[in-house]
Parts: sequence; structure tokens; C-alpha cells
Amino acid sequence: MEAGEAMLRQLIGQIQELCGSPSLDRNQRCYMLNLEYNVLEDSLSDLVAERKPGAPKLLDSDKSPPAKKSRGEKVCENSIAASSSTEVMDEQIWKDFPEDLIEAVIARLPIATFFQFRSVCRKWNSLLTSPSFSEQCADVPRVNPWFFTNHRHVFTGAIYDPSLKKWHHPVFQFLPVRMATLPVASAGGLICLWDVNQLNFYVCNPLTLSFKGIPPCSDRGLAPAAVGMVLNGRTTSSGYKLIWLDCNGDHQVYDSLQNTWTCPGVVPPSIKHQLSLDLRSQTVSIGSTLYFMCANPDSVVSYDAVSGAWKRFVIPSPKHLTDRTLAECGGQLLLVGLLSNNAATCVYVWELQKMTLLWKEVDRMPNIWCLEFYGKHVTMTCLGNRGLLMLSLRSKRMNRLVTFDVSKRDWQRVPDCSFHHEKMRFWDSIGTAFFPCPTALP
Amino acid sequence: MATIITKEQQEKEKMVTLVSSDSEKFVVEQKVAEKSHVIKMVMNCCGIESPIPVRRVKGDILKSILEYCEKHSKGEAQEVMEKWDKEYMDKAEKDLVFFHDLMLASHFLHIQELVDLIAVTFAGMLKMKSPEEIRQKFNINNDLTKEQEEHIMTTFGWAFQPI
Repeated sequence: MEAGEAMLRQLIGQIQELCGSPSLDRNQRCYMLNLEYNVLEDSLSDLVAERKPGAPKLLDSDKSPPAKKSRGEKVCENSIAASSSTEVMDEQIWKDFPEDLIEAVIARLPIATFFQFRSVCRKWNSLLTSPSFSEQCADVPRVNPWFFTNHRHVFTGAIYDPSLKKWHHPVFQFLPVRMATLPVASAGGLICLWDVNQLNFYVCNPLTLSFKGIPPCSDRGLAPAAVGMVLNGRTTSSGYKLIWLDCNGDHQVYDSLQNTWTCPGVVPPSIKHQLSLDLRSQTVSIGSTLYFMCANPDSVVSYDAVSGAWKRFVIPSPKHLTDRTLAECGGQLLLVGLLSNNAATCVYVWELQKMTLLWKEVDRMPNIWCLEFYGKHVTMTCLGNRGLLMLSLRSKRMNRLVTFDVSKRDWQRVPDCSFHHEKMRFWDSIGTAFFPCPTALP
Repeated sequence: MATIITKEQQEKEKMVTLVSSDSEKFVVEQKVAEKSHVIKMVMNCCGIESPIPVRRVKGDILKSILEYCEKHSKGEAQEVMEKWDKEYMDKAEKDLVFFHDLMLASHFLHIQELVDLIAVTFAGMLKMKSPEEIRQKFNINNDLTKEQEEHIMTTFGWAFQPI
């Protein structure tokens, strides 16, 4: 955005020049490479040229043609023809639709449709590597995350699109079939996978299946107890960081731009002896800060990946809480867990009150769903903890997947995923939420 | 208090005249015209005293765009705006030629919010189409080789599975 503003300031200068000095030589105009501003420049000069009839027509002819078609004239042409027949026009008007606008529209298509439309032509197929399209994609707000989940012992990942309520099954050709990898974190449309056998990390875009093996860190051999992932900037193009913690809180940070691991320092002793981390209790990232849940006393520990600062907040957990995990919605910390009362077990969601440092109940799972688990021992795993939560509830003979939309307070059942169904008896999956982004590069 | 009212009155008096390609004149408040990045910059450098010709946009389109800009310069509640935007788009998409011209004009005038709104609506209209229908609509030749098409179908097969 800053670069954009600089461009604009430069442009204002240019208009002033255009208006103020009619003798300005056309060649002195500096051309901007950025397509959007190329377009803006067209628009401006068009208006200005009209307004100052005395000024030479700077732009009408001999203009180095911008890569994208200029749309202005078409407004008129099409409008004139518009009076003839609307039906014919529907066929005709889009024929010369400017490419930058087509990109803006494609970026707003449902993700699956975008991939189908790759087979339209070469150009549409290559959009994934277009910087202007990447920018367009970054501008599109993605309300709900998708979920990536796989089985703990075999790698057969599945992704869930909550807007279509549909499971997708991409084929991860790049990974050995028998490899056991766990999705442990995500950021900017990329997910971080932990290879349980090789003790390595992979980062991949589950939509495009592009992936990268992360070089081993120096503490190779230790399993991570918690992994966090944050973006350096707005998109993955400015790089990302992985934060790896072992169960003692010793940590290393990987920066994708440098492609190396560093040890940024030690955890303050007051925090270190209280960390009790588990891959199941997911981390939460808000901006560049990661949050972890700790026990004895119940607290939330935060780590700022940019400043390296650790903080601890003692927050008492609700009594008899089990299978708890941290979650996040709109920058607000949440707690999810199971509470049992006699034979009844229910999922509760709490929100952190920043002033009092207490958890305040937000919602609980509908009673009728809790009844299905009445009298049974229930365990819960959180498969995604951002805005839309995905929870896997299991008892001896039953498993249920549900989502909870925090801002709408809406509980939904998730349809069965064929791969989950097959593995029902051994059902032990792990997952992460991610915001789908076709242009994210690992 | 009195000074504030005077200021508001002064703001109100700042009107600017825009002239469409078919010479239709529109007198609007400066803050309404400012919604267009391009017009804003022209006003910044040339002032608002003389009419600003918007020669590439026809009167009916400019009228509709200014209607949008006026509504969006009032700072109303988000729910109100969302409802209004929806009705505005419902009306616009009934006439595809008008819709098309509205998109081009809002892009030309750099009203990013409106471009986004129209792009979302247009994406909604295209999403049920097949790649072949898209090629026809946008006059695109399929220059992919058989191998490339197969590669897309196998690698991204998940996206082609029916709902």
C-alpha cells in the first residue's frame, strides 16, 4: 500500500505538470510499470486532456501500449451498440473485456471453480504465477478458513470447504505414501507438516500441491511440542516464519527468506518450567504473536516472533475442563473444551476478557447433540481453531465432526469424509485450519 | 458549536459539476465526487470551479455511479450498506450491457469499492459456467495442449468432482 501511495503522490505531481506546462514533451512522461497505475494514468490523462483544451494531446496517439487493453473506449462503443439488441450484446460485450478486470473477477470465484477455469486457456492456467493476480487474490477477504486433516499414521490428507460443505481429496504425489506427516500449523494459505519418521518439516499449499522441504534444524531428533507459523508481511511473497518449541520451551525460528533456522534466545526461567506443551493443543497466532496454553497454574503464554518477547498471563481455567485448546476469532483469544456433569458431556466455548483475565462463556454445543454422547466417555480434538472451529468428538462407537462459527454462534455438522469413514475404528486424526490461497508459494 | 456548523455549511457549499460523454451535467458534493480516485486527483490539481468532463462515461452510467458514491459517502451502518449494495447490484445485473459498462466505468474512474462489489457479483454469475462457455463468452481460444489439459485434470481433479 505504501508503494501505491508513493505512486499516487508521483501521479499528482504529474497531473500538475500536465495541467501547468502545456509544452511538456510527451517523452518526458515517465511510464509506470504497475498495471493498475498504468490504468489510472490513462484515466487521468484522459480527463485532464479534455479539461485543458489548450494542452497538446499528450496521450491520444503514439502511446506505448500497456500490456492490458485500455477499456475506456469500449465504454462508449458498447454503449452505442447497446441500443440494438440486448441478447446479441450479451454475446458481444465481453469479447474485449480488459484482462485486469478479468483477473479481478477470477480472484473472486469460488476456489474450486478457479481451478476448473484453469483449463480455459494457457493464460488462465498460468495466472497462479502472475504477480498482478497474486495481488488481486490478496485483496479478496476470505471469511472462513478451510480445514486440512489427515490420519496420524498414514498420509492421506483431505481438505474441507465449509462454504460448500464438501470434502476434497487432493493427491499428494510429492510425499511418500507411507509417510506419516502431521499438519501442525498454517499461515497465508500454506500449511506446515511434520514428518514423524524423518523428523523434518514440509511446507505446502494444499490447493496447488506445491511444497518445500524445510532444512533440518540443529536440534534434530527432538520432536516438537508446539509449532507456530506467522507471515512476515501481507502475503507469503514476503516470507514466513516457523517457530518450533520442544516440551521444555527451547525454541528455534525458521525464516523462509533466509532458509535457515536460528536460536533467537532463551525462554525466561519463570515461564520455562511451566510450559507443558502438546501438539494436540494447537497454538494460536494473532499478527506476529503466538499463544500457547500452559498448566500449573493455568495460564496462556505468548511469544512475539518479531521482538522475541515472552509473556505469561495467569488465567484460571473452568473447573473439570478436559481436552481444552486455544482458538482465535477476529484477534480475540478463545478457549474450547469439554465439561462433564454426571453422565452428560458438552463442548463449551469461552472468550478471554482482557480486563479481568477471565474466561467468559460464549456458547455451548446444542443439547440435542450432547445427548448422543450421554453416558459415554468422550474425547475431543480440535482440527482448526480460527474463526470457524472444527471439532472431532469421539466415544467408543461413535465419532462426530462439527464446526462452530464463532461470530455467528452457529453449530453445523460436518458430512462424513470417506477417508474418515474407512479409518473409523482407528480414528485418530489431526488437522489445521488454513485460509485457501491459490497463489501462496511455499 | 457555531464554528462547527459554519464548517459544515462550507462543506455543503463545495459542489462540483461533472459532465458525461453525452453532455449530461451532474452537480454533486465534492465528497461524493472524491469517491472516484481519478476525479479526486483532477479536483486536487485543477480545482472545482469549472465543470469536469468525464468524457468516457455516458450519462446513465455516471448517474448510477454517482448514486453509489453519494450513498457511500454518508457513513451509514454496515448492515444498511450491505443491503443497499445488494439491491443496487440486483438492479444492475438485470441489464448486462449496463452492468458491463458500469464495471468498466467504475474501473476507469478508480472507485475500488465499486469495482470489488461488481467483481464479486460477476464472479457469482460465472461460477456455474463450464470452461467452454467461458471461452465463448470472453472470445478465448483454447491453446492448451492435450497433455496440459490432462495435467490439470489429474493434478486438480479434486476441483472437478461434482458436489
